Amino acid sequence: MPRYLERSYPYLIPLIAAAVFWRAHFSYPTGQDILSASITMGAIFTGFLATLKSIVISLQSPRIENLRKTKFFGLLLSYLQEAIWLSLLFCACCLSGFFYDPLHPPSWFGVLWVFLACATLLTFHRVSSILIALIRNS
Amino acid sequence: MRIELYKLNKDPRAFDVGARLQSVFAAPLEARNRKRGADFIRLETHEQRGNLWLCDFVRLRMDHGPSKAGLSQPAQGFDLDTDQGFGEETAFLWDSSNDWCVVQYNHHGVRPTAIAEYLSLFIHTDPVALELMPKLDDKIHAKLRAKKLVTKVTLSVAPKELSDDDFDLGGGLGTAAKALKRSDAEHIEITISAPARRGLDFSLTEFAGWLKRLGGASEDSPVSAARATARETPADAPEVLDLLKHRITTEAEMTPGVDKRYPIKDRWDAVHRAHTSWKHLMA
Repeated sequence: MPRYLERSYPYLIPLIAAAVFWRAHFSYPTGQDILSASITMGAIFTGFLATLKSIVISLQSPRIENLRKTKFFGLLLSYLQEAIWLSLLFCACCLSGFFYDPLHPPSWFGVLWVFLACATLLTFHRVSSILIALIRNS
Repeated sequence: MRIELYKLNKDPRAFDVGARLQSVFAAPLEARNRKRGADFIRLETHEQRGNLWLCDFVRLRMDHGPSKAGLSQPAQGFDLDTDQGFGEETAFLWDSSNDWCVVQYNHHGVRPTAIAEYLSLFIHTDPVALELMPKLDDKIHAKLRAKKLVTKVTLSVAPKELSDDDFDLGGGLGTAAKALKRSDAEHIEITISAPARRGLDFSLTEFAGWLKRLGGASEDSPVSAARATARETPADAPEVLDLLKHRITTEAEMTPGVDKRYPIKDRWDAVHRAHTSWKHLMA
């Protein structure tokens, strides 16, 4: 996959999903259960990604050393960073949901939730699939 | 056995290589060894034929080497002492009248760069700068066009390691992670050969053009060596053409002795013959 696509797909697909959610007038679930579940999911992702980051830094093999000398290693760290920040942002977004009336959340909140949920999942998928390929080939 | 032609460059120009060789021969065998990587190299024997100094360099492979095997006996190691290794021999000819050198190519032996460095630094209190520059074939393009009967083509490729160039070309990290496994081999050599009468259906000019597009002899090129054995007509003598560096090379037919080594006298005779045949190139 070319780098421009690899960099943009975790944001392009959520944008499309959010646009579809908004244009098709899908309804966001009422109540606060979805917020609690989302925060739990975001927190798990954040913790998992932070652990992954320390594993990446401590990985040692001639092939990984070769990767470390190139700009690709900086790119790997930025992918990890993006995934961590999006998970945190997703948690913060869900936390802010508690300030609204659980029966009547603002219409844009559902759109934002869909965008952040998809982006969190896709940035996590991007970095985890790359790391699996790295571990398999190192 | 492949033989190559080199010009010896000296700094200072008045440096007496003969005196340096004499000082090597005056030293006992163990004092001639010089460490190079994990191995040792040394100038072992010599013979003088008029202006020509015929030398034999030996590389002692100390880390690993071949086994001894028979058709009905399994492969087994040699019984070597800790201070012994596998000897790789390289014949070297120096013409004291014009500083041209003819060197046997031994992939595992002492290479021309190592020979020049050995002689340069043999007396550590009197270092000089010696350099063996390969003689390039000025008529290579005419030869490529004329020699249409190609019987053998050898191509050495060094698989490319992952680098910033891949990043600059827009490669994704996922692709780079998968490419890591592929960049493990250091060297891949491909040889295509055909009977002398028939030859290969092969255009040397097109092949040379393709090599040039890949980067030619530059460090960026993935091809580290490309040679073709070709002749104009089946009756002609075959010539080895270096398609990458356009070096002057020749192949000498050798018969191994009972110890499976090419005898030193035969190797010296081969480099001597090559020297005689290349006299017109030593301008």
